[in-house]
Amino acid sequence: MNDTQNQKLEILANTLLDDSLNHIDGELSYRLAQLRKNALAQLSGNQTFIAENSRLSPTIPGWLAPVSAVTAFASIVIISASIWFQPTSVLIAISPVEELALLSDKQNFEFYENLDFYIWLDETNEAS
Amino acid sequence: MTLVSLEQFLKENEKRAYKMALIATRSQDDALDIVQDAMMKLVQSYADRSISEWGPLFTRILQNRIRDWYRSQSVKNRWQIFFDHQLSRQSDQLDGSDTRHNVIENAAELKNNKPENKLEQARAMQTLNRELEKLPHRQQQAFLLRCWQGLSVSDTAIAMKCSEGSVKTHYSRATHRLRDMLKDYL
Repeated sequence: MNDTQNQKLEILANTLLDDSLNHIDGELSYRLAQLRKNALAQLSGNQTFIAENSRLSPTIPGWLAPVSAVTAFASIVIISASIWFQPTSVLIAISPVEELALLSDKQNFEFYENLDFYIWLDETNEAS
Repeated sequence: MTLVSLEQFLKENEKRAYKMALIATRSQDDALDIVQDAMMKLVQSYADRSISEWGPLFTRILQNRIRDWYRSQSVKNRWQIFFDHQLSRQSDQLDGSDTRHNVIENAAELKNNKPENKLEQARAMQTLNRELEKLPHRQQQAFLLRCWQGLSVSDTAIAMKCSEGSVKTHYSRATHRLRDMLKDYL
C-alpha cells in the first residue's frame, strides 16, 4: 500500500514540479539567460563581458590609463614649478615706521595733501 | 564546440536548478545567486569534462551552494523560520489561502477560468510547494534529487555528500510526510 502511495506521490510531484517550470515568466527567463551568458563568457576568454547593469558603461582602452597617469603627473610638476619659481613682483613697500612718521608729521602731511596745487602754481609761475 | 554544448546544457537545466534553489531558499534573489554561482563554477572548473559528467557535477555544485547558503543563514534564519511557521500555520487555520510564493504561480490557472481539474492542480502545487519548503533541508534535498531529478541512491549520496543509508532515511521521511499532506490529491 505504501509503495503504491509512494508511486502516486512521485508521479504527482514530478507532474506538478515539471509543470511549474512552464510557468516561469518572461522576465525570470531573461534573467536566467543572462546568468548563463555571464558564466559562458569565462570560456570565450572575454574578460570584459558586459553584465546586465553595466551594459551602457564605456570601455576604456587598456593603454590609455598609464598614459593618462603620466600626463597628469607631468602637469602637476609643471604647474608646481611655475608657481615655485615665479619672479616676485617689485613692490616698494613703505615700512610701518616710515608710514607712521609721515602721518605724525603734520607739516609734511599738509604739504602732501596740497601737492597738486603746488605743482599747478609752479607751472603757472614758469609760464608767466 | 564545448561552448555550444555547455550553453545547451545550461539552457536545459537552468530552470530546474532555479526551482530547486527557490524551494530551498524561498527567495528569488538568493536562488538566482546560487544558480549563477553554480554555473560559474561548472564553467570555470569542469568545462573540459565530458558531457555526461556535467549533469552530476552541476547537481553536486548546486547542492553544495544550497548547503552553503543554509549554513550562512542558519543562525539568522532560526528565529525567522520559527515566526514564518507560526504565520503560515495561522494562515492555514484561517482560510488555507495562497502562500506568498505561490500567488503568481497559480494566477495563470485561476484567472483564466480553467476547468476544475486545473484549479485542483494549482492547489496541489501550492500544497506541494508549501510542504517542500517546510521539510528539513536534507529531506528536501533527498526528495528533489531522487524524485524530481531522477538520481539513483548512490548518485544522490554523492550529491548530498552523505551515505546511501542516510539518503534512504531522508527520502523515506520526506515521502511519509508529503504523502500525509497530499493525500487528498493522490
